[in-house]
Amino acid sequence: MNLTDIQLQINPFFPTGSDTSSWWIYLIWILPIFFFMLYGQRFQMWMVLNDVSKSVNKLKGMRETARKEAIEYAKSINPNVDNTERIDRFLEYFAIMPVDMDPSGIIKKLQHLMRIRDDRVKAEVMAMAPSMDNISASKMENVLEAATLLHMIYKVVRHFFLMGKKTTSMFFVVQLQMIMPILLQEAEALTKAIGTFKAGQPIGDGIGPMIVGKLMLNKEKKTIAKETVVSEDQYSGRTLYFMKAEGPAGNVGEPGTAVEKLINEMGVKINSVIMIDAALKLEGEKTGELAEGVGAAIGGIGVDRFQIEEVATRHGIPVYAIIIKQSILDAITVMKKEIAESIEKVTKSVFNVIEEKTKEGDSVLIIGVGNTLGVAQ
Amino acid sequence: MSNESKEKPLVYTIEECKQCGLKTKRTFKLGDFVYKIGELCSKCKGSTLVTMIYAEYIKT
Repeated sequence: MNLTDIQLQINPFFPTGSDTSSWWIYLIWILPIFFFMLYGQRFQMWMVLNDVSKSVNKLKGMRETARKEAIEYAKSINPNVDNTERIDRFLEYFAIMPVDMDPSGIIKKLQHLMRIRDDRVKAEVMAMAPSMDNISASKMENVLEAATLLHMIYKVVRHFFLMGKKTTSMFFVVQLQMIMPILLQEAEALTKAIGTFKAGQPIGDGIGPMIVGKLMLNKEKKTIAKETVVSEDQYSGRTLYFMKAEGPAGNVGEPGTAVEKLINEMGVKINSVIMIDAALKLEGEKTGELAEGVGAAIGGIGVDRFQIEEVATRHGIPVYAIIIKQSILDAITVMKKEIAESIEKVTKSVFNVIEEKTKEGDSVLIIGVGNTLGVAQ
Repeated sequence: MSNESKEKPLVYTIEECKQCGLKTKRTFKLGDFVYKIGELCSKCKGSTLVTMIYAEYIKT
């Protein structure tokens, strides 16, 4: 078929001159223009709602899977009791953030609130199986946290979806459609994380505790704060203090309180702090790559970071940070090979910082930040 | 994300002999954790230490 043949075939759709017999061709062109002028937005709304509805159903499925997994895990620990009702109640559990109109003293309030929340979670978990050991309890806590987050994501998304449907407001549904890929990505990561928590496998976020845990092997460990341990060692004329959450249970510890205690209460004169943590990578960056910087490398709600920054500033202590890059999925699911194998590079980097930034006679605090599930010391 | 969801993780435990340094890779078993005393070394019968637990992803 050459170009002339194609032209002959499409010519009737482009009538010229006084060809009045082809009036219906004009209609084919003009009708859709009027249709979309009048119903264009409704049509677009229908398309967007359809798209969002599929995503809401996906989230619902993930929420159900997480709930069932939590119930089954509770049953596997204590087969005599049906904890379905307790777990359903737990999924609705919430914490009201302190008023921030007058931010003075808000960190203390947040810390107080988080402690109450943690204690309540622990009490709920222990009530499911009173004879449960510490490690199983921490696994159950992690499973419940993931299930609660999935439940919350589903409920909020469903709220805006139904609001959009009810008000036929493009404002609600288009925003939801735009943010949906990121929400689905996070929800998928949480769903996958539940299996990892149940098996007690180390997660990507555990790379900091894994590096420090290796340095703490065969040394005396002291509990310095809630679920946080510290060890002491000597290296090239320096005193090294290693700190991490107590593993292999799935804890993050209280590194902020531990640093405050070590420096303020125990009177240890620290000259430098080195923090090792997992950090979210940007798209295009490689998983397991390390980067060095300054500042308190620690995530979470901000209480621990505030405490460390406060002590460091008051005593003029430099804080160095080493981060291991990974995605949100890598951070909460079973540790990838690339992340695990970064341990030697990071350890070398830690000792480079010690040699270059400190001098003989100094005391250096090395903190492995993150969830220490499946990592002892 | 969509590519990763088509990949299945195989979780391995790496044990390192404290005496001869031999590294053994085996499938993860429930109860394994990093820095746990592992099985006896297949070469020198020395005690081993679990030094890593990680996932390798295979395309399904």
